[in-house]
Amino acid sequence: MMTQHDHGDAQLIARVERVLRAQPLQKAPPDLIEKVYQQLALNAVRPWWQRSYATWPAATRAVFVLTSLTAARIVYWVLSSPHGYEAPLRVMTQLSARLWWDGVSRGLGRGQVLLHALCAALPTAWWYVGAAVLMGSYIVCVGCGALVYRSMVRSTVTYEGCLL
Amino acid sequence: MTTALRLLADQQQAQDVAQNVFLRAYTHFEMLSQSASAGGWLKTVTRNECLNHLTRHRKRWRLFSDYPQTEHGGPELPVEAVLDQTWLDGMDDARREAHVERALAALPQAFRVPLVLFYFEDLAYAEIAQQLQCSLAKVKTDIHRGRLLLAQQLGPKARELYT
Repeated sequence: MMTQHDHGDAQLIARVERVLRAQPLQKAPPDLIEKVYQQLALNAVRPWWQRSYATWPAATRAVFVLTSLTAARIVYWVLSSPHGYEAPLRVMTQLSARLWWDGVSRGLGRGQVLLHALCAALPTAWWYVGAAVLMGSYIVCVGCGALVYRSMVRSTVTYEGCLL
Repeated sequence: MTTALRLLADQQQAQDVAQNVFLRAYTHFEMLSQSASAGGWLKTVTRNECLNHLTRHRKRWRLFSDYPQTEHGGPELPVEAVLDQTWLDGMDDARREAHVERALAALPQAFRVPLVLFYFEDLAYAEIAQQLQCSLAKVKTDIHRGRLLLAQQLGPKARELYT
């Protein structure tokens, strides 16, 4: 049996339905199609590196894939070897020496020695703790920033709610 | 454009979405020009773009948002009180249509979106729940509350603010 409340709900549904179904489509602004054409014209003159990968020249895509695979291999080599960080430094030191970049070569050589000493002196756990502290500090900063913004910077708040 | 305007309740954002949709239609022109369901494709893509936009906007501003976390702007009147009011009486067609669009745009997003999807996109409750990634019960509740709040907006008190 329908209660008065149910009857009220049914009436409300019917009235809202009648009002909303009677709404016509709205016209698009007259400049919309012009903006679309303008954007199409701009897209047509974009250089290839600003377009999606699928539209790149074939040779460029091949070079990109090879470079990415090489970079991934190097990263894997660095991370998997016991003192992986030393290998790239050694390579760069030798390369700069070949290119007669004496200053750079000496600097990199000293950097390599220092890094080796630091890693040997610090226990592995400290590196993980250091990373965790950095990450925690970042999260705290973001959280504090949000708190300060919402409590001090935000003034009168109006929300586009309902009118009574 | 109508779909975007009603879902986003913002002229500029709706224009941006409409523009993106037409640009996407251009890239699929060959397929669409031979398809009888091009209109449906446009509507579906517009709807999805709007919902994605709303989701992105909500996630981005949740932490820093100026908007309070309340669901709506104030207390709701009971159904009987709302039904007792005269709606849109004495208004010509143009003013009535504009007033209804304004009332719809003024609804909180949580109620406006399911209402628009139900009445203008002709989606079933289950489809709306799937689109909005919420429960069926929530969709029904939001649509019911949206009707109530819309009815309040259409009543004479709200109308006075616009005349």
